[in-house]
Amino acid sequence: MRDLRRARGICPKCGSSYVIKYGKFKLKEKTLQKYRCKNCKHVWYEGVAESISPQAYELILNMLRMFIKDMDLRKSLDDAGWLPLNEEDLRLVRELNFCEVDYENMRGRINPLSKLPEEVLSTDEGLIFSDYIKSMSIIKEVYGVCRDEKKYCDAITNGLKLMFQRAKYAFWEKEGGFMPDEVRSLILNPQWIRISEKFSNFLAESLISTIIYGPSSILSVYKNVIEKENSNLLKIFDNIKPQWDKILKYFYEHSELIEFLGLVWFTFKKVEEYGVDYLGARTLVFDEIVKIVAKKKGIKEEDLRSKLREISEDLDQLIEEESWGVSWNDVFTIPW
Amino acid sequence: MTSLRYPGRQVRELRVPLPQWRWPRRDHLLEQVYRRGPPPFNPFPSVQDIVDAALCPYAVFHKFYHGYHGALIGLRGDEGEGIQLGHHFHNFISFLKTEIIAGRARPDDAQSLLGRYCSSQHVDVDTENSLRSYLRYWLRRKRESLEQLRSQMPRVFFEVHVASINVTFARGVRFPLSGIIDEIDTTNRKIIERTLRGREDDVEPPFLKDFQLWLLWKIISSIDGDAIREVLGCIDLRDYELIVETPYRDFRIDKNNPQFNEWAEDAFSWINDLATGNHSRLAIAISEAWRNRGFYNRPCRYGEEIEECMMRNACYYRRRRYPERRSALRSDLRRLYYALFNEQIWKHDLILYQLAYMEQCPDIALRNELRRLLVGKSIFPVKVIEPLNGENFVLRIDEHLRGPLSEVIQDEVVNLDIVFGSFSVGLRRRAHLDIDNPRSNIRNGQIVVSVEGPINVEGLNALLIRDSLLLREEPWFLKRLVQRSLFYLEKWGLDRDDRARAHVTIRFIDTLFGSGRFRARVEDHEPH
Repeated sequence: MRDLRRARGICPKCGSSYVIKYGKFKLKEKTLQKYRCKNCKHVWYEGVAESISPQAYELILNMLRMFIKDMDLRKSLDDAGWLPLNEEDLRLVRELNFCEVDYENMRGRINPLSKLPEEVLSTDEGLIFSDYIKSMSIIKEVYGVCRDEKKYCDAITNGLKLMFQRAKYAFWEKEGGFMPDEVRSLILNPQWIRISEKFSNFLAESLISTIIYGPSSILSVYKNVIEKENSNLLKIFDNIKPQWDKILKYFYEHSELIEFLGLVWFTFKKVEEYGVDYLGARTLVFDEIVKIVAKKKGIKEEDLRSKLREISEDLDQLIEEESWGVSWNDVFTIPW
Repeated sequence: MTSLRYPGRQVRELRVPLPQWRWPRRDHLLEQVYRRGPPPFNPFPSVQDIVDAALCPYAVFHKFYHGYHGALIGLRGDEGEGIQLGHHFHNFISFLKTEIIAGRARPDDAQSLLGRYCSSQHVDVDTENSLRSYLRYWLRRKRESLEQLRSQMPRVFFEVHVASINVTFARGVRFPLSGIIDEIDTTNRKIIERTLRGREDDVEPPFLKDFQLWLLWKIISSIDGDAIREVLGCIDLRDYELIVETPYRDFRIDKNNPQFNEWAEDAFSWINDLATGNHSRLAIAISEAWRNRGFYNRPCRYGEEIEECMMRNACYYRRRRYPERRSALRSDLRRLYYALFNEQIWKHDLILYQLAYMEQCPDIALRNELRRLLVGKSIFPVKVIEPLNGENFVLRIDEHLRGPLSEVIQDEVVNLDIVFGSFSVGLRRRAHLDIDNPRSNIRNGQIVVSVEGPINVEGLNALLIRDSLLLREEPWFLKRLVQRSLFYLEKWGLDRDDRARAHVTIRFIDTLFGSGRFRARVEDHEPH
């Protein structure tokens, strides 16, 4: 029974570890190992390494697992993935050009900078490894951006624009009839999706200029933008202006929050572009953004986290007295 | 006795305890607020939710947003069968005890009764054999107590549903909690949690089962004595013995374990943060839950997953390269997960709050308003006239409810439960209205109901729990199915990359969520 179990991982369908090998499958390019779950009868394939010996392959997988484990524990890239090796392992590792060896401490690891062969990269371990490598390069990129003040401002601007673009603009009213009819007809209009893009652009520009130039610039931006828009949109701006001004003031006073939101959305776009899938790698990036902004603003990480937790409640409080408005909680979101 | 596997907090960070739970307001309870967006109150957690959060906070996330069921399982390899086995084992023991108490069977008949049970429940041969071997162990040490049952004829209740809005722990903050107690023996003053988990040579209760039983005891201890007396015929269950029963041994549980208080408050805090409609709070809670995954003295890691966790394949699933835009797909699906979860709270958890407030709220006016709102819509108070056999009961319906109930019967997907007793303490079972039965006649206010699950009719008769409720819920669990399907789609892919690259669905996803191109193939007969 013990031999049958954990032949290789767990069943991708039901999660059972009651798994057996179920034959091999030869293709032109490579050979696949078939597995069968004894619990749910699901059958699946995994690649078999042909250019690497089975012993070396097992060693590589162990090194990858060690790397994932260390990165999950938030060790630094330099310290992650080192596996103690014996003489036989050393001999195997020496033949692989994507491994590095620390002879002094008799340990080795997969070199994070080298390119892994396809048959290793296509394994679960290989894909998570590459997710961590991608997340590290995103973090490096973000650190680079933060060193240059102009790039940092641009990143925040782009991030905030993305946040407003992806936001869901839902409206509420305390009781039926509080919302002006022209506003209601506009947001119920099928064209609202198109109009809301302009709406989001206005909000983004207004917010960004406030952070950069201060609250006094609100009116001028407001005027500049709305003059170009249609009259119905103007009515929404007119009506939401009091609550929007309060929100601008709130974010002007808590610039760390808006900088975090901008940077986190900027980074999130990169996470999507790079296709980082493993949650451990995604949360690593997220935690790093918290660290960067906290350091930049000279506050404790935990303080920033607790302020971020309270954003929604704070926004709700700001507009408590209004009779209708936008659900700002669906706009100022963290995308993780 | 407490499991030795709880040496203390080594891995998990201490959670900031909640100053207060997010309760539904009066206007939410009275349905005077339009249901939209994230509900401004927390879900009504079950004991299983709390145990899962104690096992791993990230399991709660999968449960709420990906439609998973409980996380905690046994140490057997055949998890899927294990759940069924445990269910059948407990059902059979309750059936056996009921038959012995009623004088219809003797302890020696246990093996033959098992055969009868298995054929009535269409249990397959492998499961029956497994059940038989577990039963052999159980009978070795229980023969004497079964003989005692015959002579003593105690009052025993199985699968008792308990719910309270007044559960408190060390810090005195009030929480809602519901659960199902496997067995309450009011004669011998015992509360029993039955499980197949654990091994023959175990000297400690199965992992977290002691905590689960303690939570159930906390719920019933927080319920008003009169409500309990009406159903169970006793008032105070605080000094009852708590026993976790495996086939091999009974473990007596210490009620004064300070760790249980800490874990419970921790779990409520995780649930509060992960069930929030506040996106920024949720994003932070997700990253914290991921960091704290696993249980108190052992983290869960890739390649070293926690075996007891049924959701490990949700965290560590088979990874495939295609579709390449999985990350963008997930971002879009996330909104749907949240929306589906919100719907479940509005539909299911709110009704749990309404029922609990209707019976336990100190504000009598609110109780009456809730009763007026719910009767004829979600609940139909009925009286049990007589049991026809172990499964069927004749119910009497009040005149003013006959019309609404007739309408409910027209609904093909009606989802009804019957609660013998009250929502706070009662025997809650799935029910089917048997309108074709000759004894059924809604016009005359009489209907026969067929009930699933063990019911000790003799126990019921002794107390004559006449006041019962037919409880109607919308099929909220379908949202869970949708969540699970979406999560399956998110993880889906093909093992063979050569096929995946050309697969139409994968190409479609990559085109929708990325810059891929998707072209229709030009058929031969069409002009080029």
